[in-house]
Amino acid sequence: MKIIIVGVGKLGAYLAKQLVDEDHEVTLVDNSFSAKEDIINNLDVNYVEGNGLDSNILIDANVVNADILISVMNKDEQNLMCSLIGKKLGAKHTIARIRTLEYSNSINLLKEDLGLSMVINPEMMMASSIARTLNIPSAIDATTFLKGRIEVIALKIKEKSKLDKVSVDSISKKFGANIKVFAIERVGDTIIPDGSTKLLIGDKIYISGTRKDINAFLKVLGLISEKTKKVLIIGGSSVCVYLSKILIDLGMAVRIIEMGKERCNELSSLLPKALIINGDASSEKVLYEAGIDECDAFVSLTSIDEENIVYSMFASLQKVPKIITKVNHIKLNGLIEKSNIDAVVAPHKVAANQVVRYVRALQNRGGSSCLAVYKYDNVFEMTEFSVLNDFKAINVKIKDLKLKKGILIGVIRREKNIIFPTGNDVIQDKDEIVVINKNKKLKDINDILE
Amino acid sequence: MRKKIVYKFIGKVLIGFSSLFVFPILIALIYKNSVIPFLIPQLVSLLLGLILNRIKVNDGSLFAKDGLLIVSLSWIIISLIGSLPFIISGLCDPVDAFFETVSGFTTTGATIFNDVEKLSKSILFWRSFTHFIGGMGVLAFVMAIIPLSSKDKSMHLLKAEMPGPSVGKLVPSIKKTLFYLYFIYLALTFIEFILLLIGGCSVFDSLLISFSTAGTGGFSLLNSSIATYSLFNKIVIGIFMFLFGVNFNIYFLIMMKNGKHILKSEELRVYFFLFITSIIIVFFNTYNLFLSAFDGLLEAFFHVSSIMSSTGFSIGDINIYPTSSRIILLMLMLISACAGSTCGGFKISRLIIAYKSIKRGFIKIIYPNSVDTIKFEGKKVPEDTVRNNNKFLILYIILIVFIMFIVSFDGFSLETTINAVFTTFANVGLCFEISNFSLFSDLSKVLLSVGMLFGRLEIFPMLALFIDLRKK
Repeated sequence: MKIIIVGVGKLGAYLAKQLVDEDHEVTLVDNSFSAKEDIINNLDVNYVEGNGLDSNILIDANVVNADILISVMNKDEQNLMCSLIGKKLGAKHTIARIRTLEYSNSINLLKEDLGLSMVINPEMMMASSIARTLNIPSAIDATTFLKGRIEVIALKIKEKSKLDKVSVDSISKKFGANIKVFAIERVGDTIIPDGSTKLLIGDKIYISGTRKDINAFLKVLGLISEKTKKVLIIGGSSVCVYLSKILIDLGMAVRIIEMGKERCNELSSLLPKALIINGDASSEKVLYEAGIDECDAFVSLTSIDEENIVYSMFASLQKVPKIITKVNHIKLNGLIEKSNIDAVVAPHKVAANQVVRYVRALQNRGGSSCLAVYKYDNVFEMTEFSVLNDFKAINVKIKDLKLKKGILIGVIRREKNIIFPTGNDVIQDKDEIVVINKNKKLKDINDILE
Repeated sequence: MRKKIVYKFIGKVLIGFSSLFVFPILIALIYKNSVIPFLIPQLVSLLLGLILNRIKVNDGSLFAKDGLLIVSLSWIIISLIGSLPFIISGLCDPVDAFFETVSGFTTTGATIFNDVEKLSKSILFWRSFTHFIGGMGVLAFVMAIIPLSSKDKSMHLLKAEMPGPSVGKLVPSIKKTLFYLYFIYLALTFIEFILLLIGGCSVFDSLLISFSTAGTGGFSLLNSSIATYSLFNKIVIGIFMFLFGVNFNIYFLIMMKNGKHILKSEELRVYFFLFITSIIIVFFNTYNLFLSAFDGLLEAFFHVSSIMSSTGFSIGDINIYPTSSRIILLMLMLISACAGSTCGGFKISRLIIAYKSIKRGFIKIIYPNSVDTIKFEGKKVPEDTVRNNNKFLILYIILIVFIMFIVSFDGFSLETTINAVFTTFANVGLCFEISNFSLFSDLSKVLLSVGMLFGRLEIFPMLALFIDLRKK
């Protein structure tokens, strides 16, 4: 598809990379590319230098034939206007980033009247992603799919875990819960397991099942102590506001440490149920005052990555069960994975993944279509397909399928039944399936076959 | 660590390159020449490529320096392998063979053969075919045909090989851009081929002349170059030499039916203006040498087109021209035609940017506080590009003077020495007083070959190689 991205900031650049990896034709528009040489030299994209609100510049970027115009400039107003102009000039779909707290209430109005196909609010998307993770104790990442019927959570296998040296096949029997291991991250590598793969201490595993089964499984493992009740958040950013709102609605107690006096006042009026503490989180006293030693979860959301990492390390010393850290800029792979920090989130990544998902859904209309894609840091992805009879291996036993390497059929949904397939199951017409794949882009369901 | 990425990519280039030997082998089979001279380099290229391609590299994107090194090293290695057919056929010694091959790939067209008419058909084909490959670029060819990972799709490679002060893409994806460029290239070549057939050339001659024109090379099949072909064909070749000197972006705009942008192109306007004025001056300067005014006009048109596009075909004796005409032709050699075409030389767009930057300099002297951004083709030219452009101009002159100094020890006349260096450095290939380069010393031949590579790759990639070697 032909996609134009207006505004090449962190989100714009990350989106461009993701979309190019999906073989889309991407054109970037930005006021200046002088500081962005790296992007235009190393990404297979075209670029137009100029103001994205100038219709001549958009025409130069070939907006007339564009399938999607994604507007991610600094200001919401610019993005709205750019989408409007783009739509008028002929872009088929427009996506705009709107992140101002006040605007987010009127997003639905804006969406309809301005003909926006999608509104990106990275902070809100990140907040709900964090909330999902907090809602399942001991998971370090969580998503749902097949319309919420099953969940996928990520777990780290810690010392003395019962899962050590257990083979993937025997998990369901051994722990009495109908779950399946989708992927294993082991020392920087990702393994798509077959039945005999054994789990080891230090692995990060992605398991799926219904909410009930997952809870039962976590209980047997002794990982489920209690629900997350007390959450300590550092930094009163907009993510913090969105997140607190969701958490308070879920019945959790939220404490926020924020440095700015003014901001504290704002926060307290926005979040009357939260406890706002005005102080510097780099002081031990403030953290103890906020009760770091008794909270169930610690979320560090300040604007400085280094601070977030340091606070999280301290929280880890205090044995806080779950620690989530926002890391925005730092791109030193492996550094954070080696530390004790459970989950790292960046708003632009969360938002970009959702856009990529949306773009794929647009692309696959007709045929066995791809319904949704869940990417995990470019290492592996889970793709949801609805099967029609154009699938070449319908009613063939899975063990007889010639699947490509690194591909696993994770779940089959047949009407109301959720099946974790074994070699003897078959894929039928009108099923919905989830495919786990590594290093490959699946555009069509038949791509899974050799 | 970075070295590995460079070597691996060169491996891919060599694998792609080996496939090209299929064509001369086919010709050798048709004309019952020996296939050995082409089979051996093909195997050498394939094996070396496969070995290099086995190198395991860590993930990582290409840096600018890697791009430059890949391009310069690939061109040198390919020139070495490409000279094997001449050596194996026993036609010349290795230095001559290297000179001839570099002259082919860089689309220069300067030859060391005294009598090209004696060469076998397959060797003649190989000479012209090297023009055809080199015209668009060896890496461009490889990147268009082999599957690339996302990190290989780097603009650093394209920038290092494609001529012009700033290289852009026609469409977002590199593969598609290269596809369009090759489509234009092949289509123009095919049209010329058909027209030459109509004009009475044999299939073989038409094909080879089309290859040579397309790459703006200049290797011909006859010692008299184009002089004995029909009038119609002379005009066709003259026009196509001009057309291959036009920036291919212009043809892309025509394909996309954006015709009105073409007239706005500054570079095209200047190209056309220089072309017409040069023809007029040369014509009035030389017409009394010819029997009819038409003959004079034809020669002026053909030679201006040939030299300006850096092709180097000729239809008459330029040595009888008055000095002023020869000076014009020498200047045109250096200026050459548009960026983004297959021609050599300094390129008109660089000249325009240099002119604008000099003009700005003068205004700055008169109004010290004036601020002026340089615009070209309606777009702002980044200051880096302006600086590189001027650096390029200075380096160009320094290198030419240096090579001239060394070549002068061969004892040729002043004009021949100057002309020989200009014609190789600017990838033209036509030399006024001598018909071929076999008389130069081995040192001069190697130096001129390196000069041709410097000229074709526009100095910086080759310079990166030398800087890298010196550091070691």
